[in-house]
Amino acid sequence: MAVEPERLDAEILRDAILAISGCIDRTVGGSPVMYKTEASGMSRTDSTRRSLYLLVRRVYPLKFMEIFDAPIIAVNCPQRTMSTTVLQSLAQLNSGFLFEKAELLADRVAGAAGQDPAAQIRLAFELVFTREPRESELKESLLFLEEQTAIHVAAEIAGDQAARMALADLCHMLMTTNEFLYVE
Amino acid sequence: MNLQISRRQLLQSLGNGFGVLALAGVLEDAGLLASEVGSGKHLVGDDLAPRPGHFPGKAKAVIQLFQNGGPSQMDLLDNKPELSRHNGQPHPDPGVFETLNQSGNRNVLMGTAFQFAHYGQCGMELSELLPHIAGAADDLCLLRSMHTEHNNHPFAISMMQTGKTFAGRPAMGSWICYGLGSENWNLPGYVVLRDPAGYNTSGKTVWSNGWLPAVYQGTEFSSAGTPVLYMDPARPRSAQARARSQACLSVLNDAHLLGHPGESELEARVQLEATDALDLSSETEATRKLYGLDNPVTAGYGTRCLMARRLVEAGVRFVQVFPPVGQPWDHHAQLISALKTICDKTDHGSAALIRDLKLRGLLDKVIVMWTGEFGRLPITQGADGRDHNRNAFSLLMAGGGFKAGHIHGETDEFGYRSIKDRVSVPDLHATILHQLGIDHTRLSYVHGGRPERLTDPEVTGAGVVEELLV
Repeated sequence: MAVEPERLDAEILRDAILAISGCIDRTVGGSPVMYKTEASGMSRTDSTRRSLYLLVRRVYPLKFMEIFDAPIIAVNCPQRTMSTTVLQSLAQLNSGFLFEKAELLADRVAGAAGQDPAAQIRLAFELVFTREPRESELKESLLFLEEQTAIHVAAEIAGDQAARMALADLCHMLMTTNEFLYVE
Repeated sequence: MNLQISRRQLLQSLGNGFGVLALAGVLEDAGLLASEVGSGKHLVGDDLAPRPGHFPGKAKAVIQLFQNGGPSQMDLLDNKPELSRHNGQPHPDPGVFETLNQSGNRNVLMGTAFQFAHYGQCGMELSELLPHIAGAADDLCLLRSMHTEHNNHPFAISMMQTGKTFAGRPAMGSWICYGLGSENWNLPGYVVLRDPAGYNTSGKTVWSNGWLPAVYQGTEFSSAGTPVLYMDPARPRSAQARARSQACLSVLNDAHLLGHPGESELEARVQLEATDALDLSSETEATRKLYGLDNPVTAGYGTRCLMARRLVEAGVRFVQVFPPVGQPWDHHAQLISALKTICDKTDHGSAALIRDLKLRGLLDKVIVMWTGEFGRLPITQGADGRDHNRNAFSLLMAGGGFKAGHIHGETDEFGYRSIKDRVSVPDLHATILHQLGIDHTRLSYVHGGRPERLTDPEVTGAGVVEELLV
């Protein structure tokens, strides 16, 4: 019997990204994390505390949570809904939250695995998926790092910085995959 | 063994591939998909695939021009000569006013300061404050006998949007997308166009999906700057770098058992579609002028009205347009000057939208709705304002099979209470759904064990108002 895949709940998704990038703040208790909604409609926070501690505002929910089906608090939620929307893809690909955490993850990976791209890729896969990359994935990832670094260099970004950006881009895409977003 | 499967289960079992939607349709036609709430399943799936309603509808889309704050009906749409005649005098029976002792209200009747005249071939009587809307009188269906349940903004706004005064239920736009899906895969089914300067009263709850899946929530498109949240990468990346990243993502997803084919392409297509749908540069000078884009007073709201037309043309099901930030129709003081200001900003765009839709032959298929959340009192608040009034308000409908050049209902001699052919908010919702081909008694979603409906007809007694329809 086929098992239905389940998307990570909004809070778990955010926490998992914080944890993988190594910046999660696991402090227990204390004041809730406040945040503001800008005129653009964007609400975000620089806090790395677990999502459990995010203040939930009825009128202005945190955008990232709202689009991943976090329940509204005005009514009880006996069962969460799970939908697939365009804004979810856009938030994964383009939000500052993902870019920032991908950079943190890239630095974490480079710090621990050293300069060997294959070692970096292996560690990144272990951190994001808790498994080794398959041979084909390793190959694609190596090719990506090489080509993406060249693309960044062509865009007049200095060599070191270009390689770091390419690794961050790979980490970003790993945290955007369906394998990361869904559990079986 | 129960072989009945939901559309959602089917899609998930096949990896959410869009290609299987046609198959889902075939199964549904064959009665193999659960499609009625009586079965304990949801009526339809959790997706935006277009699907037929319960019967052929006259309209396919709705544009709601939400004039939040409480437009003063006796100064705009419901002339009351008796009120003017009794200007400055007390109401003979002050007991009728349920909020007389609140907020500086005084039992002093206040006639309108504005001139009314008869417009169009239908002779619809409208205020001088709305010269452009008056020019479209022959396309309007004016309801003068609306009433609602609450005298304060958040509750009455919730009532108008969700059918109940308390927060947490899905907005009408969400219900409609749930029922019919959307005709454009590359855009959200429910788009919100608000003032880029900020939010109106009740913020994002106004377009909440409540407990419906988030795919039905209103998506804010900005009428200034980047149209869609998260559309541009937060870090600078060349187009080539973005394409290479997405190609890598695609390979990684393909390698995975749960690959969702085409998702990154979908994202790219949304960017293109959204940009194209909101790109007003392809509009003619005449059209831009029609919407008042050449005038700084009318340009902001006019831009949103023009974007609304482009979005329904592109297949978006429900577009919600907001006036300037805050609650610009809430005139507790200095009513005369404040009303003039907001009318100057919005009259032009609202009328242009109706005219433009008609010129393009779209008005038959698109319902335009101009409404606030309640009306105002015929008596004075403070020196020169009017307080909220749930007992009567007026609103305008146009297109989508609503009667044109038609006036429905009446209020009492002073405009305090709707007395003839009264229409409740759930009645209005039922009527709008009907025009879209949805039976409001049957469109339901199980929440907390109860099959919920927008109109909750057994409780509200909601019914389709046939008199409003062609």
